Amino acid sequence: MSTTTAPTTAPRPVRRPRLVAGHILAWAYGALLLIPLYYLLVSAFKPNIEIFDKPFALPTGLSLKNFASAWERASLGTALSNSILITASAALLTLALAIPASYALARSRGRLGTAIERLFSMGFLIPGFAALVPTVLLAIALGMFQTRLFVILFMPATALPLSVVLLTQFMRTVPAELEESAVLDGANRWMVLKEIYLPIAMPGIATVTILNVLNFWNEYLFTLILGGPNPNVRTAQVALPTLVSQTSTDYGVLAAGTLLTLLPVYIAYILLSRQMENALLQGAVKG
Amino acid sequence: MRNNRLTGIALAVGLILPLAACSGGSSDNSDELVVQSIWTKGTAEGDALAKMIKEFTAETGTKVTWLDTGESLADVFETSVAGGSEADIVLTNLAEKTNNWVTNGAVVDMAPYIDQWGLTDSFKPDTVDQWKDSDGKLIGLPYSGFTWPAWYNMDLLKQVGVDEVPATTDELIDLAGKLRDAGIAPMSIGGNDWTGQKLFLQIAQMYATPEVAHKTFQEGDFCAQPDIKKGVALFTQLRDAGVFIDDAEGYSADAMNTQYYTGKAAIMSAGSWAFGSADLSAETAAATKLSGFPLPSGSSWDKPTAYNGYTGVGVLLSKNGAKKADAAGAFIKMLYSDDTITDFVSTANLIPAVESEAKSTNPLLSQAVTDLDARVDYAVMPDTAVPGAVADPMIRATSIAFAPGNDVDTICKAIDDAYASAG
Repeated sequence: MSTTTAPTTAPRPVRRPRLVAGHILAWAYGALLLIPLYYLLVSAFKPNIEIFDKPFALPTGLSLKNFASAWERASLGTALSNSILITASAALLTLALAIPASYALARSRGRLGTAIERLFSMGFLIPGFAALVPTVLLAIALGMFQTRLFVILFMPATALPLSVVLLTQFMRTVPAELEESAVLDGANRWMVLKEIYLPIAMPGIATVTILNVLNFWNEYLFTLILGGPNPNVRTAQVALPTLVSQTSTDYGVLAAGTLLTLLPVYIAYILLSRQMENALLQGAVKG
Repeated sequence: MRNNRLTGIALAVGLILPLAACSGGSSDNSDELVVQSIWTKGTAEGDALAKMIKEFTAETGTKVTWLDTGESLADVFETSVAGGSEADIVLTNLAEKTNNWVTNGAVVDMAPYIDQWGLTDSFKPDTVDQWKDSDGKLIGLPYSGFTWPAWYNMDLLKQVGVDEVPATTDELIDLAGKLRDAGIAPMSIGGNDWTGQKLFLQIAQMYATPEVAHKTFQEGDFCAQPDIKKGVALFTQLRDAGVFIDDAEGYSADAMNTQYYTGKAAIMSAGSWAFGSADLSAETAAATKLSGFPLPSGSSWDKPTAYNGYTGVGVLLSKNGAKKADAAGAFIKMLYSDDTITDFVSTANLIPAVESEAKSTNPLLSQAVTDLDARVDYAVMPDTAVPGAVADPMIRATSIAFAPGNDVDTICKAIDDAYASAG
């Protein structure tokens, strides 16, 4: 005689309506972000008629003709080199100025430090456009109008308020005791900054760098006016609009050119975001 | 290791900065010219210019830097003037900002140079006058012109039993009904951009004399002028009769072209710059008859109207260029030479402002050059009258006109607001 026992099954998870709604909203939001990217990607392989006639259909072929045309017509090789040069130099210069400033402000206890920090914060109140004319006049007066050097020197000025405010907050999380023990062991200010503050503030530095690189890379108005139109000097963002014509724009070529100019910034983002995660882990272990 | 990295960065910055100091813009060296153009590299006109520049340098030894700034030309040029580094020669259209360039010193009056460079007798009649500003100063030398007719796809018209382009607006309304019944959109138009604005103003001047149209476009107050108000009423009548493509107020010029090129619309109003479009199939081009926009009864015009002009692209000389008048003159003379003009006509379908024997193989351009004058009257081109500052707000106002439900007074108010906003 066999005995039968009731099957022991694991209780089925109860799907709560709120969770399902959350999933739907999250996927919908993700799709909303992907739709423009999808449109850009498929347009890069289409002629104008297909773009306007069937905007969201898959392209009929995967010819790289539009990419080659965009590269050639907008001289994107030179333009991307200029963008990389300007973005990297300006980002490095910003960090070189913001890190020591933030360290000093984070450790400052006096009223002067507070006042200077507020002064940096006030930089947010100046609209970028309002600075255009004085900046052009300054560039002319310095004899640096329509040079890459002036653009490189100017960019950090626009990025310093946010960089300093963010990095100061990160550096304030470093326990004062760590600095005191290092000083007792004979470390000078530079070593304290380099060996203690920089590693711990690395997530902040990576964040600030990502923000700055994106801003510098995408900057159009100032690089157009201050950098000028010369194909040897202009950035990718200034070169790209030369593919636009009021009477006959080839949107496939324009989409392909846009994708080409997006690639370096995506690569930089992927590299820096990984570094940021590593730095976060490193900081946690050290802590 | 970390010290090595820091040293590397310092070295990189040290190398980068001197490299970054390279500049664009004009130099004082008369062996070098800087040419800035609205034509960009890779376009038919840009390629013809690039070829000419190469030949010019080979012949004269003068180095030419070409700034192909495209649509941002006016902004970039004006800022460069402030820095004294403007291009020597500018190839651009006459519109908005360009109109004031002699007055504000951005370019020099070119009148003395026409004789000096031996170009006086080269130009077609009246083309030079189109480049004079309100003070009579010559802003630039005309280089290319345009015609802006209505395009009719005769294959589609024949499909609905119509063999001729409509000559009157009543015939147009009748045709629109037949086309709609056959599932074909009648007239494609970029209601939300400059193509819509031009068509609106073309219809608005149907009952007005050229003088009245010019004055009204210049000063505004559309509904105070009875003939113009009557034209606006005609526009709403055509719109409500379904002459324009559905949702025309949301269409751009490119969307308009696509509807016509794909045979979804039977009519469009587009300029000669589209004759050589890569998207226009040989079949559609062959089926296309160029004519004017039909007239209402009581119109002040004798024939259906189109636009034309020689303000497409002109040759302007900056103060920097005037300092190197010999080199600039040599360049400009070569630009107007038979060989260069032939090249521009044959490869870029350009309509030259100078007398020329050059022929294009493009069937639409040939049709425009040989037949269009007999079919149409040329209406007042708004760009020569509408103040530059009004142009953009006016396009927003005319897009309202294409939206169903907006009556004559609403449209007039929107346009008057555009003039008021520009001061």
